[in-house]
Amino acid sequence: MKEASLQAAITACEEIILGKSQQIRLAFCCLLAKGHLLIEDRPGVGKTTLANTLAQVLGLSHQRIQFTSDLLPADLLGCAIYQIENSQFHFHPGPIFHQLILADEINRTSPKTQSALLEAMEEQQVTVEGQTRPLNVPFFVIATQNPNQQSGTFPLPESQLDRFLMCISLGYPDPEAERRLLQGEDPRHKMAHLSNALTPELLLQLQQQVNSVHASDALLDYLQHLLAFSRQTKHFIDGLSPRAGMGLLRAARAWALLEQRDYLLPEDLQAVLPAVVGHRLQLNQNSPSEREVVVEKLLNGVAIP
Amino acid sequence: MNKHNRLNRQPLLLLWFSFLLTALPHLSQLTFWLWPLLLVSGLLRYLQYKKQPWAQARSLRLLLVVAVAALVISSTQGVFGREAGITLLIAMIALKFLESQQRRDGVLIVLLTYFLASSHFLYRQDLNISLYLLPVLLCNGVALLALYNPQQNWPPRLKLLFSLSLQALPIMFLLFLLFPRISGPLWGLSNSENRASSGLSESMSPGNISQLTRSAKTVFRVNFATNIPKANQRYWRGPILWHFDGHTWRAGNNRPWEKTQLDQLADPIDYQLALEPHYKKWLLALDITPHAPAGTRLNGNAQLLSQKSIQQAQQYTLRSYLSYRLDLQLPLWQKTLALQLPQQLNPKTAALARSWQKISSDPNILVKSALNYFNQQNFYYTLRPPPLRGKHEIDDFLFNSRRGFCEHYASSFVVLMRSIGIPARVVTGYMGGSMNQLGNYLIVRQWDAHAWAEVWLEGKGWQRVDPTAAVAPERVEEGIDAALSAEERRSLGGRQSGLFKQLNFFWDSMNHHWNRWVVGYDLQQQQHFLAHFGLKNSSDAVLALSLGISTLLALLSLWFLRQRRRQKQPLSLKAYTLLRKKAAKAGVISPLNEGPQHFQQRLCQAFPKQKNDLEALFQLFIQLRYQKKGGHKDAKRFYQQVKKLRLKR
Repeated sequence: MKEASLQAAITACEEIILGKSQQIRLAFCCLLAKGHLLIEDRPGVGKTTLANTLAQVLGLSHQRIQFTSDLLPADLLGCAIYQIENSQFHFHPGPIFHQLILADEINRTSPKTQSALLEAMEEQQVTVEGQTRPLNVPFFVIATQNPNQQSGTFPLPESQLDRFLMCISLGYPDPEAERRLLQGEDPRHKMAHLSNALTPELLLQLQQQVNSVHASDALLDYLQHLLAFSRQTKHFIDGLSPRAGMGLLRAARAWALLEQRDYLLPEDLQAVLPAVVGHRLQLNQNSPSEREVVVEKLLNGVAIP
Repeated sequence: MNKHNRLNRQPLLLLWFSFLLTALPHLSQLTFWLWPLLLVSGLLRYLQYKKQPWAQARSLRLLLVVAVAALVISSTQGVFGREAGITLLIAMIALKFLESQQRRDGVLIVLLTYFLASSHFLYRQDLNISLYLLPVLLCNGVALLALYNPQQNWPPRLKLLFSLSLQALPIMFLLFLLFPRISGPLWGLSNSENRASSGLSESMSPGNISQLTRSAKTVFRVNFATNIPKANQRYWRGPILWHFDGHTWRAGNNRPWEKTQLDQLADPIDYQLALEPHYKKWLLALDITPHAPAGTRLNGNAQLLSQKSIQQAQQYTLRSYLSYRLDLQLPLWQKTLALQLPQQLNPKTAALARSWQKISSDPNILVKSALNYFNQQNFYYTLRPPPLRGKHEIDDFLFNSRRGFCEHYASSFVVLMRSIGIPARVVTGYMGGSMNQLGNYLIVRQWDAHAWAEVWLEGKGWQRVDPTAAVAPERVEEGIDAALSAEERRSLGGRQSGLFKQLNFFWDSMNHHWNRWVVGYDLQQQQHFLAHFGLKNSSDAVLALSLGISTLLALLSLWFLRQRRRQKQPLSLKAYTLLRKKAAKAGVISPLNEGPQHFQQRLCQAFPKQKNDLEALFQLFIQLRYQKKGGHKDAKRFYQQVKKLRLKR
């Protein structure tokens, strides 16, 4: 039942964002693993559409925040306003108190606002006016960012990139998908007719189920070898952190669930590895590291025990 | 300073102990001040350990170094040569302890100690020192291990030590067999020429040989290839003495060897002579050897001499003839030498000889008369003859004391013969020897030293005459012990008692084997050995050596890798590896980072006919490896199935 709804939700998404099934599955995987997603790509390749579609299909309350250079933390978290009627401060929750947040162009805003968001992502709660308020459950942030080379950006530092479980890029569609896109209806219209295939309750149950996916010793060996390799080899500036290792395992479990298995295979790790690891590792060279090269180094460097 | 690199107490103590143990055999033969130096440096190091500031002063170390250098130079006359070098080495290692605060200093000391251990072989290569060095090396190894892992417990450390030592054994063996040998000793052991060692010399005075009989030192050992000659035929020829000055016999004939000197050879005996080092040139061959083996020559007295003095155990393969005729013709100048007598000495002896000459002038009968004289008069064979008095020593012996050892009898016999015109000379050497039943070889010891005479007779050449046999026939037949009185035997110590004798034989046979197979493995033996493998010269040997060692190391590391893999590999994985191998043979090569699902897909694509089999197989593997379902039985089943699998397109 749960699994069927999950597959239905994925299929629904695939009908709107054409030719990007791998990215959609990764996004679902990230969601199931209770992680946050960073989409890094050029404008106009469908980042926002993906986020909106996900929110629609999952039946989550969602809010899009356009990050600009003058955005302040209060704009995000909300603030207390004095009410004359009862002479009291009343808290007006900001857009962060939604279940799915689309943080558009996160690297356009100042580091101060960035860190406010990232803190909320990590703690699952915010403190405003001295009062700690829990965020909604499920809470899922999809952030998009333009490639760092573009002007007028504040690139996220490595420590904050680490907060995102996955980083994917959509890329241009292949010619066939693009033709269908051009021929077909406007995705926005299609989205309007979309019914939610999953409910937040089902999503929470699925997130619970992820934890029970079995990871054998052999698989943990493989994971540890990957981590060790990233730390020992000279290719990378820094190795993978234990948090990255835990994230990798959680993402792989979610992937196994998507594959309708209750145990992990090395393939699961390999499938989520590029998305989980790509933004965390940097090649030890002066040239900007190509994500594919980084992952290739890691995948080819470690044998499956 | 890094805490991990500091030299801890335990490794330091082990280092000190190992160093002392290594230096110990040297200390008795080097200068006396090494003892106090070791004491002082040990004490200072202890004070350093107790954080005494003055003991750590740099100036103190400098002072010690200067003092030691001065001492070495003054006590060994320079810094060159074996003694000076080793003294310096020991002293400097002892001082090195004073500045050793880190691990790398400790490692340096370990290496120096290894070097010091090898320096013992510059003095001697016998079994004793080798056996002594074995625990020394192990102790040094323990010190090295302790340096790197001070916290390690003793059982695993010792285990590691032994396993490392065992791994080194094959390399040691290869190096021993193949490392290029040089002919002669490694070191130009020039100093040892004047080394005082008991044994035969090129002169003989009364009392010389009886002194030798107090020593049980082995002179040489003999393995007979043919039958063993009887005891009374085993005369081992040493220096031949011609010149007599009334007290001492000396060599005195430099005639070169000519082939024609020997003829009518019969009764050949083949044997291997294993000489202990005696720092002289002569070999001790059985009477008489016509052919000199490589590296040796015969001199005009048919004595076998080596080109160089014998400084390490040597082996020779020899053939001797028990029956022979030596020097049928004696040149006049030789004859003159063989009749030389000191002027105006021993008139009574000459008179005695001349009295026999009146009865018969036949030299054969005259020889017999002399032997009869020794036999029938009151002569005694004794280890402790009274000193001969006066300048007419032979007269005193023949008519007064009449108690003597073989040198007395040989000497007086030759004087008797010479005084009536029969050419004669003294031959020294060894006689008899005892069989070692354990190793089936003959041991000849210093107490077998003997002197006899040779007379030259017309038509017969040089004839061996042993006047001792006339006095004490037991000496010739059964060896020296039988010829001595019970009291004298006792004075030599209980060298014949049962168990002790057996142990002695055992130990000696071990020594003999050591000398034959280890020390005796010299350049010639090596060439002989390498010739079996078609290696003609030493550069081939070096090539073989490096090849051998690298092959050995490669094999060892392969074996260890396999062991390690085998330890970690469960059966299911082993079977999976087999599956990958089979697939690779069939053309589907799976990279090491390919997961089972992907591999399965590719295999199924390549072998669509066996799709079902393969899927079942992979299902089983995934269960075993990633689902943790199924036990050893399933793993076995999986293994069997993989073994049976034949991939066909």
